[in-house]
Amino acid sequence: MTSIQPVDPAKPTERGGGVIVRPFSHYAGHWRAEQKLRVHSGAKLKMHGDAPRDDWRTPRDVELSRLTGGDTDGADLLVVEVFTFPNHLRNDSWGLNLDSDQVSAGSGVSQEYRAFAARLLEYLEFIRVPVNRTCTIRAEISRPGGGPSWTAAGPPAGDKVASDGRPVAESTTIMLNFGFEPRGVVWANQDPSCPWVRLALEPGEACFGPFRQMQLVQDTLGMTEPDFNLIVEPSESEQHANKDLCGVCHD
Amino acid sequence: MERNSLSSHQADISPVIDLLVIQPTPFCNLDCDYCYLPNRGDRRKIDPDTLRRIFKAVFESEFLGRQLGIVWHAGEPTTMPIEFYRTAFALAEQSKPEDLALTHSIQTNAVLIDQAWCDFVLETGLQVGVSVDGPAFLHDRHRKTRSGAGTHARTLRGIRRLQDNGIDFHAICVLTRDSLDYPDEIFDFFADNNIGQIGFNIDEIEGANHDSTLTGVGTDTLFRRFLRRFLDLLKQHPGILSVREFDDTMSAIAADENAAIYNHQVMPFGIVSVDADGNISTFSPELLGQSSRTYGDFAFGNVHQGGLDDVENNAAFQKTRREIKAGLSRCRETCDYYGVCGGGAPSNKFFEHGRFDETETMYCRLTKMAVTDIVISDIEADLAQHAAEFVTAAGGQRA
Ligand code: SF4
Repeated sequence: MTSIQPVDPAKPTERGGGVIVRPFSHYAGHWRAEQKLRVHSGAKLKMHGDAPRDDWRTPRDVELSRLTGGDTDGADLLVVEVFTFPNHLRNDSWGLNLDSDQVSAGSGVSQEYRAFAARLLEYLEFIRVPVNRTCTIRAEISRPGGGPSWTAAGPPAGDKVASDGRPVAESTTIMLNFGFEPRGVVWANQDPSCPWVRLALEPGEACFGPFRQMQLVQDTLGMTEPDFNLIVEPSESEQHANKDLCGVCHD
Repeated sequence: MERNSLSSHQADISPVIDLLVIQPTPFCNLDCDYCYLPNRGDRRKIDPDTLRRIFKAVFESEFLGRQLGIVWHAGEPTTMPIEFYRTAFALAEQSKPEDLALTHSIQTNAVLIDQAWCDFVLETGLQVGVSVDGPAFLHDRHRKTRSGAGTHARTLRGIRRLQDNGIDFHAICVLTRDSLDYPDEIFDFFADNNIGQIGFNIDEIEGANHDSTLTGVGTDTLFRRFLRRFLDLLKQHPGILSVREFDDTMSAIAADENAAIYNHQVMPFGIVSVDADGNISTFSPELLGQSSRTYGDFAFGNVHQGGLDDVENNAAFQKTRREIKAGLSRCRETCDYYGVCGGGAPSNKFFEHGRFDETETMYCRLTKMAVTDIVISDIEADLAQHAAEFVTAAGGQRA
């Protein structure tokens, strides 16, 4: 069963679901919000949850201004920041034998994957992206348009603890597009009368925002190459230790 | 770092000309915002008679050694026709002493490099350095045309030409405040474009560039952070890129502590610079063409009037020499980095302090002190790690 919710396009950033997408201080390139952001005109209600309709469109000027933070009262907004990461990390990722790293979180991750994860964290630390005190770095590869076909996950070596001066976030999700084609990241709006928002992440681009509030809906933007994303999230131990993060122990 | 114990004073070593900088034209086809050249819109060209007199003056000088590098510089050299260089190289070859080993080099923005230039480079062995500041988004912020357009795409086209012809070159990458946040992207640019040798220059306060993006509060820390990150990237990806600053500092640290560090910028006639009108200067080449009443615009002689012999009797030269020597003495007495630096660049002392008998500059703080500290801390960390591994291994054997 599918139904289309009525939408008020003038309310994309209202309380309860407002999203702001903006370039992080480290962004190597020319930021063009009007090319990267799309909104849709309604949500499909499906048996297993909502999904955006396919009629993505360029935001109107007033929407764009709100979506990029130009006209907000700062209330309860989900702020997503976009940054770029270097090619040498992408090159290094191609050297990983991810098939053999196909393991459940926290166990049996190869030395190569740990070393790679540590290098990724060093980079995030250098550009001052807030990283969780301890985190899991999950690799997801999927057929275009399909769900993850498999996942490699593991903490970086020694559950790396934040060093002095490193910006630490209690609850961040970072998503990096390691693939060869742009892919969409979609934020479902909690207010059904507001449109959803889609950000096109180019290869070598990444975004971060509050943990659990970022809904990384698969959207391959009609591309044909497999998606390859890395997702950095609070480690399980950190989630369990923090009642704001853990949906199990503290429910 | 231990204070150095160098015994010889470089300024007293008998002069040897090892670099001749000739300005074929002050003109540059670009208008980079950090450029030190004051007359880069001036289309004057050196004439054949001036060129002949330069070679005569230098090749007959008592200070000439067995080797000489000629750098065609202080304007964009490729704005002069290739034929000019063909004639100039032939003239140099004819008039040089038989046993003098001569090399020619240019530092270019590569915008005008075409197949004819590549053929000429291959034919003559001309050494090429290309100025490129990394990826387009950094390069194009500062390296622009007169109409303000970025030049990265055109520089890259010239680089491709050189590479397609198998011509080896090094790159000079100027670091501005913008660059300091992007070591990974700069590393990527050179690695991805197969440019294996680079040197970092900095946005200096020099000549026509009266201010630098690197003077702000906290820049020193950011600069060190950049270097640290860049060195880590070099170590993570060995064999891809060599960086002049790290290599030179390593060599200086490894050298015998009593060996005098050779700094030809502080030695009279170590570098001889001649502009398109035949004006002669020495010490830092950046001094030539800069205006200064006190130091006679740093034109200490002219090849049309007496040549090199007259320079020693020139009052402005003598004053400059005295002050440089005094600055050098102060550096030697007070600076822990003298052993790897050798007293720095007189031009930076002049442009930052207005005189030469000074010591520390922004330039030396970043390019000498910061680099040395980073290299030494890296060596120490490596040693500590090896020691720890050795102890672990030894413990394992005992068990
Ligand atoms: S120029 Fe600077 S680094 Fe070099 S010796 Fe003098 S004070 Fe030290």
